[in-house]
Amino acid sequence: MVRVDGSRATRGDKPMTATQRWAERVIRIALGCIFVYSGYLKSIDPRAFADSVYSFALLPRVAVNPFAGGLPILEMLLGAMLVLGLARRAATALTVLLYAVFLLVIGQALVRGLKIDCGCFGGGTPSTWSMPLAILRDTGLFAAAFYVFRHARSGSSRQPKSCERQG
Amino acid sequence: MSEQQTAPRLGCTKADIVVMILLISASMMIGGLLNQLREDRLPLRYQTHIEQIDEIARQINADIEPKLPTDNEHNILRLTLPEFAEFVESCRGLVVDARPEIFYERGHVPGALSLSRINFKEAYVLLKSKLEVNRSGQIVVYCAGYACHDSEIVCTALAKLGYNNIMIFSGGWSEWTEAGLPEETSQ
Repeated sequence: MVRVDGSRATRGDKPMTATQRWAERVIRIALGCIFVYSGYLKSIDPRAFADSVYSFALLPRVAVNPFAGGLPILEMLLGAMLVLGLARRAATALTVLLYAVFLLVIGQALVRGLKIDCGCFGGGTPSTWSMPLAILRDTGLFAAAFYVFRHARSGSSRQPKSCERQG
Repeated sequence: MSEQQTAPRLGCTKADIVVMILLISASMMIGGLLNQLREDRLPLRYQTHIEQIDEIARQINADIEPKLPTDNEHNILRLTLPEFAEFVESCRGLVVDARPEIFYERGHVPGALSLSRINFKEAYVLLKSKLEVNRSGQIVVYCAGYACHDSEIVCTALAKLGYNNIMIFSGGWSEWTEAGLPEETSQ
């Protein structure tokens, strides 16, 4: 069955219970606030964040500063969209993608033995998070983002519309 | 609704992908625009700390002393803790703290001046009169410790600005405090 918004309803889709809807909302808003906060911290000192990005030794030098300038804005926009529930599927998909990228980037730095400030909540500041802990934290956030995406994807976080019931 | 319509298996429609691309593009454009509005805007190409301080030293040379010699012979000696402690006690020259100002304010070597790598240009302008009196005299620079390179970077900048007799205390603030030596605060 295909819903009115073009998404495919998966087998076993069940309407969420009130508790699940409440949990999805809380997790989505919390994720959004974390994104807005981390984006804001990165935007305060873009030079320090660019230093963190450069230290991962992944991007060419011409890409480091544009990336360091754009990512905080993306995080804040995504965070606001998550909090407000706008374009939920796209916002949560991009959130999942971003956390997957963060995990890969930090993981490869750990494997390569790079000693860096992860820059996750602003760059250049003494961080209390070691890299394994940063991976653990981002894994939890990735799981939370995936949970919200799963419900946004199936559309089961909303009440079914009348034409969907005909499927 | 027709059941023959298909949706991407990833769970995102084409519209979602367009929204994501628009978000990413808008973020890059807004980030670029905000960068242009900043006083200390980032250049397109990333500069390492050494390159940043090189440019700052060139700007200072151009603004203040355009005829300063740029090819100075300078020996940058590294002092041990006892040598540095003796230097401080005897007040033989200037001591410069290259750490960020916030750490300087919380504690520094007695008599040290704050000339942080992060805020070098502004700090140098404030300290210029004190430093220029000591242009041929001895200056010792320190930062956080052995793992920190800010003292070397500030040393390089001072050498480019014509200071001939610069030394580094590599052990830095961590070795000084571990030895229980006197501290001064700005608070």
